Amino acid sequence: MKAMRVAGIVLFLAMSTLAMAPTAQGDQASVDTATAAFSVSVAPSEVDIDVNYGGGQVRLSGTTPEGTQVAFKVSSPTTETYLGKNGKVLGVLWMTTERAKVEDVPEFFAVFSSEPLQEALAPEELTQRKLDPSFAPLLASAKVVSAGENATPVPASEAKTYLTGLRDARITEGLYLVDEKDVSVDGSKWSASLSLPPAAPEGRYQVTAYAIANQHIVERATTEFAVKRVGVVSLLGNMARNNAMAYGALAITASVVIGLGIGRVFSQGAH
Amino acid sequence: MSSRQDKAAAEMNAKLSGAPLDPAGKAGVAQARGIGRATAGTIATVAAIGLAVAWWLGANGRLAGVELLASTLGSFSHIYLPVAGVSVNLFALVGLGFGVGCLSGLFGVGGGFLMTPLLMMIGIPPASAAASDSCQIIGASSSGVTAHMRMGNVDAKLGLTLLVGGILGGTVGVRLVAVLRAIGNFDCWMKIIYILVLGIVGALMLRESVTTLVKNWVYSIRQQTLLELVNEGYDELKVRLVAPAEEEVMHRPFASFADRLPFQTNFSKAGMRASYLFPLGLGLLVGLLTALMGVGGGFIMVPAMTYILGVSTKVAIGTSLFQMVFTSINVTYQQALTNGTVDAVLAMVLLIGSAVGAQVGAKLGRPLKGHQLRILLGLLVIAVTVKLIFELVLPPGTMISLTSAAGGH
Repeated sequence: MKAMRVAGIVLFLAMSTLAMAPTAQGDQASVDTATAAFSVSVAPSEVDIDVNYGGGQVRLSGTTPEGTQVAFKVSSPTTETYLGKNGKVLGVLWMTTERAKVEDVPEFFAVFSSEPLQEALAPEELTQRKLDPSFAPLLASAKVVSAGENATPVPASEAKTYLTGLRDARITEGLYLVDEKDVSVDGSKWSASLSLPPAAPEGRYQVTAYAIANQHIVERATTEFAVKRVGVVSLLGNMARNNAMAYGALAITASVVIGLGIGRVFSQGAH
Repeated sequence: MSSRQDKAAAEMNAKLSGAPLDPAGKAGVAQARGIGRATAGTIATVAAIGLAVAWWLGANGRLAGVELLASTLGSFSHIYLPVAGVSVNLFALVGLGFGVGCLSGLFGVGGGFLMTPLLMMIGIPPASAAASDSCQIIGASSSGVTAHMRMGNVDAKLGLTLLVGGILGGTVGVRLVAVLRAIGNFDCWMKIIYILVLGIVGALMLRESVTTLVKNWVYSIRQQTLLELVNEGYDELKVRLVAPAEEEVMHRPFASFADRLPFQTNFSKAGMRASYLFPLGLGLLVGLLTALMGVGGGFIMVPAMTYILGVSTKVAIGTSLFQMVFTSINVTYQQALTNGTVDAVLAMVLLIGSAVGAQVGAKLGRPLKGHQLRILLGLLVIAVTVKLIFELVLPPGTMISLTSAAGGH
């Protein structure tokens, strides 16, 4: 009986300590209470690149604890990207004078949130979760080496120039996106619409969604969707890669047949 | 006065009075045929323009009645190119093919030299643009060569000699593309080659056509003055009132060099004697350019055959088309095998647009004279050259650009 009384006091003291703990610990408590409530789902689960493909649209949605904000990031698989640095040749012509290969960066990366991220999240969280709208944490993990057979690491200042150029090119192509207002949170439900640009690469895209409270991540959920070639696009693309002889013959035959057909139509029109 | 001079003077009078000159009535027959030929082209053009306008109106909410059509067309407005790996606006691509086809019909050239740079401008990777253009040239030239063969305008011996050179040049050219892509800067090399070739061809074309224009202008003023003097009673000047010869004796630069080469032979259909080496070398050069630039090479082949070898224009065009079909087949096949850059979908869309455009262009060009067309073409070629020069010498928008693993874009 005495032992039970002691255990009750200890439990009371522990709960009192938790209740009076600083904000971060308070957040931890809310994580515990909200674990089951946060979720993410994506529809459709597959975006098809067919012959009429001009970009795709996916809808992300889920549930979140009341009073939280939501952010998510979408990333395509990491690839090797080749970059060229332009310079003057012979004092007149602008040509690629140096080349480098960037490894471990996704070709597509998007950050969406319901509130401006700089205000909604603490700086260390932005960096750690790679949610910074400048993409700096994302590119910090990239490896930049010289292009060619004997790849050697590029000096840090050079690497920064290449990575800045890569980020700007990706933003121009619509492959690196930031949207800090179009995640709508309505009570315990959230949703957003993501437009994939025509240049979005094939592959399985990872979606990581976060519930945010008091500038900290309190919940995390993941899902994924695929972007893949289908139909004629897949058939011809694979044929061109894997059976170039048959593909070449097919292209030539089609060109001759269409050319002669059109010629025949117009020659009949002439008589 | 001889009867020839009388006829010439009468023709000149008719010209000056604005009356049509058509003693054999050939123009009437040609016009009748032209109207028939134009019908299909006009229908296709009107249909294409109608669809494009309807789509635009609907897309911009101008007409509620065409919204359904617009949404239907809108779902087909993009086309994904499986080998080039880019999505482009279908209407822009067909329009580009149509526009270049129009110019090629208007000026009587293949249009490949315009097609490849324009494809690059709308975002097609240069290597794919050149290879796919070669593929569409096969179709575009096929119908032309069959028509020329029926009319007896193809010198098979000359064509086969050109073809041997073309296949050699094309094969070497495709390997050269692979090497240039590996070095990097393929797009820059391509632009430099374009600037050199187009600059030379455009300048020569402008020089020749402007000279002809000035000569014709001086001649017409002289004749008008003479005619006025004759009308005032200076009958002795009638002998000087002669029409220009139908075809002036053609100046053949480099003819003596071509005539001195060994392995001379007769090319009966072309009606000339020349060394095998000349068409072989010409074919080699054009084959190289086909691979590097994605052009058919007619804009080099035809002037070279007419100006240097003295072949008639019709046989030069027919024979050039003959070798162009086979050289383009070789280049397309080699590009597919070696570089994997032929986009069949891109080639087919361009082919459909350009074939229809060529028919329309041929109709548009009818009222213009040869040298007037050549001035316009020369200006167009120079404009493309200047654009490419600017792209090479002006600082790029960004100092870092994306490239492919092979070095090109």
